[in-house]
Amino acid sequence: MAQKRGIPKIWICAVTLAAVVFILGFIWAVSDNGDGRRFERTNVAAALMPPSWWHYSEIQLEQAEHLKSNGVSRTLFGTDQLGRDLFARCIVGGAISICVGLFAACIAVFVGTMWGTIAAVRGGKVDAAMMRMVDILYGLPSIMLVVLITVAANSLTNNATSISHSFQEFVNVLALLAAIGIVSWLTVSRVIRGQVQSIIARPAMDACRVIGVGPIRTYTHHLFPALLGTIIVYATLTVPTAILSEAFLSFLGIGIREPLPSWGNLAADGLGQLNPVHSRWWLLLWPCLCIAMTLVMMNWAGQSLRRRVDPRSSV
Amino acid sequence: MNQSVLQINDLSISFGMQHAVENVSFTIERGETLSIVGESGSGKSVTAMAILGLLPPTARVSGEIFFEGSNLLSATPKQIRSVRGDKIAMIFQEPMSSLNPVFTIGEQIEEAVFIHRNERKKVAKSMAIEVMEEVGLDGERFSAYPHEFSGGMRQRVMIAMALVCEPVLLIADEPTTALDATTSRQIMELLLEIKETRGMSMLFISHNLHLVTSIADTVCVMQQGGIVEQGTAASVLKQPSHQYTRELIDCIPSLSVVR
Repeated sequence: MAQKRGIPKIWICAVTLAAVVFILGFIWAVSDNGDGRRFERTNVAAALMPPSWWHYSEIQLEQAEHLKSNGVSRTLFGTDQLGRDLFARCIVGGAISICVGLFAACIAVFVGTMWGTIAAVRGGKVDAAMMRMVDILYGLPSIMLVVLITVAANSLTNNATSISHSFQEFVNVLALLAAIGIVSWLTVSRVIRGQVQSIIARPAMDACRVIGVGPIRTYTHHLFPALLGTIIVYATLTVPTAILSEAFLSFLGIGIREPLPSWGNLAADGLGQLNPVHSRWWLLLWPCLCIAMTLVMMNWAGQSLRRRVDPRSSV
Repeated sequence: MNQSVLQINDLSISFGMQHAVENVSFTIERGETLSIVGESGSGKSVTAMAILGLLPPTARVSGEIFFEGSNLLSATPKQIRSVRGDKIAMIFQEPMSSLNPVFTIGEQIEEAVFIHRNERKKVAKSMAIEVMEEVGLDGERFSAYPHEFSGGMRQRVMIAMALVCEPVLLIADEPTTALDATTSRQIMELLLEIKETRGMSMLFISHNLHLVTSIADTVCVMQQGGIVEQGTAASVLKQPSHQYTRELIDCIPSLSVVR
């Protein structure tokens, strides 16, 4: 008998705690006291302050005294060039990054599952044509495709002057997640095709057809439940990849744009501030740490799920 | 009008250049059991698959298959689906792998009821339990999974699945091949009993001519896709007219030879 592996309680606690902090932080970061939402609130007097628990230089101490008299609260992660609170920006940026990752992964898994299933079920020429299309798309550099799609979408909205700014921002984010989703379904479709082929070759599926089960019921009642494990595993492994692509694109300035924060563009901002003269390390450290922690956590989760679903691949 | 349950005229099936079945014709009357006997590759199972419309799309089929007066070969997929599992049921050779391991046997027996009878859950369950008891399974094992059953019991589950919608014709494709001798005998007795109590027709496919004579009224002997001999079970076994039939009879090892 295989030993049942439970998730250690400490991990459940840690993840729950992180989620609670994140949600409360998000509410706090987007709260508006009439001065604009917190993550967008600029204060030039407080520009480039290190985290308040860090030791301050003489000038910074003076600046801090001045700020305190103006009623500015302490900052956990420091502030950026415009005096915006980096902690608030990291949290909102994280929310955006994770949302883009989740939705892009959903698109990828949905498209991939449908494509792979249809190819496997139809078989023959349809299968060959569909899979050759996947091969061709595999050959193209996916990041280049994402860049093309996002740039095209952005140029469309930028030329239309009648569109409000927030709608432009929305279209920008939507184009980005659609673009990431569109390029990452390829692996899913291949895996699902293989799975479906092996499932429909089972005698149990013949027995199903003999009873007179229709194609839709076969899919929903017999095929899909058998595929669910694979789908869940690939979904959890696609989310971190999608988050990474988003961060990478935003870092290059193609993805999420200022003033909307994302871990990618925050890191890009921070990189410029890393110099031997005045090293504002906090601008680079926090966004990078956030990305790294999230990706590691999600990959662990995905891998432990895979070990549960497919005991053969356990290492 | 006294219609035959199944009438096959000049059925030919080919896969590319390979002719699997050539000019096969036979008729099954109501309540009659016809048996197709032949070695593997003689086209027995392909004929059965053709009746249910389960051949792969690469197969080329010609001829006529009349089931209760309507030609199944010209029927739409939807029409064939409504016949499958309802009027014509089938049991397979491999009870081990033909059951889906992730559903309980009750759910699998009920499935046909949901599809063809559109009954409520409760009615479907009582129908399933009734048929389970008919084939000698304990109704209380409704929610057991296939792995909890032995091979013979699983074949009983398959038979229950086939019988739940009270089919007119049951196709049994080598139902005892994967079972040991005693279980095989029990399953044969069960099929005989069901055949008599329900009065349904049966198409029994086997490679074992001796086994067939206990259940079949008529026997068709197939070789390389064609029928070489056809007649009542007793006459075929006692006075085989074709060389191949004699070989089939002789090839079954009997204990006396071993001694």
